[in-house]
Amino acid sequence: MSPFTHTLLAYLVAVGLLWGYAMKLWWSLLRLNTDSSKPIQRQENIPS
Amino acid sequence: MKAVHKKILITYWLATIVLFTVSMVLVIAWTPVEQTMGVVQKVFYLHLPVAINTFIACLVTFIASVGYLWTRRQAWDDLAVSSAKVTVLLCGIVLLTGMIWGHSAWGVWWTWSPRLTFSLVLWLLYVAYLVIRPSIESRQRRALVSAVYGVVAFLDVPLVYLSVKLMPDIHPSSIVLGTEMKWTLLACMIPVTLLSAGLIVMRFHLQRAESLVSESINEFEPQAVVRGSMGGLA
Repeated sequence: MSPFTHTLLAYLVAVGLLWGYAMKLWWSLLRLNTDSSKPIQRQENIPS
Repeated sequence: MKAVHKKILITYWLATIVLFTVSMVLVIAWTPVEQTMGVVQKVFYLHLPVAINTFIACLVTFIASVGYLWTRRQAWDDLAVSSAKVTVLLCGIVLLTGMIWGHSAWGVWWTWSPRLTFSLVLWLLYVAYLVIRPSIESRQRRALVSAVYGVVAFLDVPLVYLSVKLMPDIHPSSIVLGTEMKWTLLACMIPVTLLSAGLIVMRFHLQRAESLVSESINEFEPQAVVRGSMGGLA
């Protein structure tokens, strides 16, 4: 591998992992906010 | 989420993305190629900021662990585990970028030099922190054990930092940088720090939500058992 390939590989690994994890967390937070804003549905078939 | 919080969050992340892009452009187009090492020296502009932020994330885990031991509040434990997760990610990136740089500079992917060994130990310590946690069922006990572990694991941070100064090491201990190189390093340091802080905060929000759900389940379950047994008796 040439020094350029080494540099490119290092940047791809670092940027990919950092922003990949950031996007994973964004997605989880987005899902959390969407789910928590939904009204809780009443389950009619539970015996009182 | 309130509209104001949403605006702050969007501004924060937009600023991080813009600054990160600017720093990458500076690394590629503006910073001169170092004469001895050549183009592979440019790995340093991401390697060093991520390494510094690894130490900061370890410090956050340490402070949060002390905070838990002091107050016994669940939020401190949530912060400690969140920053421990980010520490594993950052330290992993430091090891990988260092290995790639080392392969070009030294001709080997790995060598058991003090700095590299203590860095690997640091990564393993925080991986073990995350692996051990789920094996402890009681929430209070898990938080207590994790807090003690979080304090002890931090002892490796000064070892990583000082190893290169106190022991003979192949790892560079100090680098002389030109003006453009210093500005590029600063330009990379800011967005990486913003990104690392953002990751800890986002992970903390998710961890808090998980803890609150687990707390409410724990509160609800005994009542459900009592109600169920009374129903059976009736």
